Amino acid sequence: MALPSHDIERMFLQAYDEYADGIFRFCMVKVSDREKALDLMHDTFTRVWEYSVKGKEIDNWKPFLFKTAHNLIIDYYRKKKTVSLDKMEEETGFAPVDTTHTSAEVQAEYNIALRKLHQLDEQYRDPVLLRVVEGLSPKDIAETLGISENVVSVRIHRGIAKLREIANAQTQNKK
Amino acid sequence: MEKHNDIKKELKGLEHIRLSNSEKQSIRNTLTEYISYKPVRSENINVTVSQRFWFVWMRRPMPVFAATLLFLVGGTTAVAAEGALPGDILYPIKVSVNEEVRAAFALSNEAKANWSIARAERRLEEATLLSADGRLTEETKQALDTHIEDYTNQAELFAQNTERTNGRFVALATRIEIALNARDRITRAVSEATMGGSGIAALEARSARSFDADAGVASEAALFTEPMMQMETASFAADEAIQATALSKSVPEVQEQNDAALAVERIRAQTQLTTLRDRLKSTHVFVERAQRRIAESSYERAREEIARMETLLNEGVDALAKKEFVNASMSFQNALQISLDIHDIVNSGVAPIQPPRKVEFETPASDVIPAPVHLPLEIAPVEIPKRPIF
Repeated sequence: MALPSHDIERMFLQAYDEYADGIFRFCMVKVSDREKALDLMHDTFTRVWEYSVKGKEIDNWKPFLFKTAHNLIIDYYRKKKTVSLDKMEEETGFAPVDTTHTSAEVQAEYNIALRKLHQLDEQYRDPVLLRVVEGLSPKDIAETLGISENVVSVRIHRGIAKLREIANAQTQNKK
Repeated sequence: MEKHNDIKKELKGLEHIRLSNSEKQSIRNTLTEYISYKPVRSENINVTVSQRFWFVWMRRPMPVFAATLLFLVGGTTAVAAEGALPGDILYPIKVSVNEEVRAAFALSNEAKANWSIARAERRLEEATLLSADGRLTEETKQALDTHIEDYTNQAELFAQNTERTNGRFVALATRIEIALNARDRITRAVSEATMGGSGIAALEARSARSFDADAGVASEAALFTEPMMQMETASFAADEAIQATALSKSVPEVQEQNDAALAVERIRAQTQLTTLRDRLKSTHVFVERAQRRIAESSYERAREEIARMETLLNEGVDALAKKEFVNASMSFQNALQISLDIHDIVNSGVAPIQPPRKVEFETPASDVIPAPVHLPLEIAPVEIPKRPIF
């Protein structure tokens, strides 16, 4: 027997409270545009609600939300060609962090992290982000990205190795 | 996860990407509103038969099978009976079982009044459909007419015991008024058809009876519509009353009266709109079913009149949107009147001599809103007349 409607509403809003930031962060890293990331995050939740309205049950909200966001981002890029992070910064003074409430130090820390992540190939970037920052299991990442669990494990391993290389290179340069 | 701690530290800056509190709350509010517009509908929720049912089925198949069969057959029959007309095999089930069960669930006086008027409306619809098919005998017509009278009387009695100062009383009174008006016109139209009266004689008879009709409606409705008439009279006479009291009463008091009177007009117009939408559908059905037994010219004329009804409905809806409730009410009432004229057109087989009657109101000045009348609440014991159902 499916859940009563008020339970579905409660679970949906609870999922929003818990995962809204994560979904927004995922969209933000992928599209590098705060306003667009907000729209994508909002669309993600409305799409998921429409799915629930049809009476379909969602067993695990977190990977389901990330998968929906991932699909919406793919749709977004099909309609719009990619814009590089540097170009965004130069042209629009793009500030992905909420600049009204954060210090310059925090923004600098964020920019460094984002640059490191963007040095990875795209195929490694998503699995590493979802595993290390969002804490999804390889199984959930596989469901989100639509690839096998083995491939996810390999990409996480290689991505992390690559990030370590980048970090070591930077440390040696400083010396 | 511990083994990635060094990398986590490298990417720690990404955790600063988050929604501000105001953004998060704002989107949450939007989603909450979205949910309320698109709720999870109960019919969409998957219902699976529980394991307990299968367990009982396996242990005692025959009693479970018999109970299931009874439930399915009973339920299907009850649903099928809803479309039955007098003379059909299932009609007694519709009237004596389905409707009585629903009546038993109407507990408050208001619910009872609503259900009684709904039953009167159902009988009117049956008379219309039988008339369209040419199956309405004099005996059936009289039986239906008697029941319509009973149900409207019941509705009036129950309505008298509801709170008269609230909007639901106004809605009830409006529905009863519309049903009584329709009953009179449909019965007359039916009489002409069943007596074979068509052409000039029928039209003359209809013209002659138009005065009787008004008198008949007035006398039948006197018990209940008198308070409504008082309300209307008071509405339109309120012009003077408000002007007179405006000097002695404070501005908020006058404003309060204006708001209450506006609310009455709004509810009246909205109730008429609901009834008109139903009437429009049933009139479509009536004309299409009657097409094969009436002249082509009458059919075309009836279609034109339906188009006029739709125009008036749209005009009324526009007026409602602009909060011009009196104008909206006039449009709806004219459209309802046209639906009754269509019965005349179809049943006589010729176009009516006179154009459809227009109900003219003396519209109060736009800056003066009439005051509502609070009628005394008298609780009278309700005695329902018992009549055999066919």
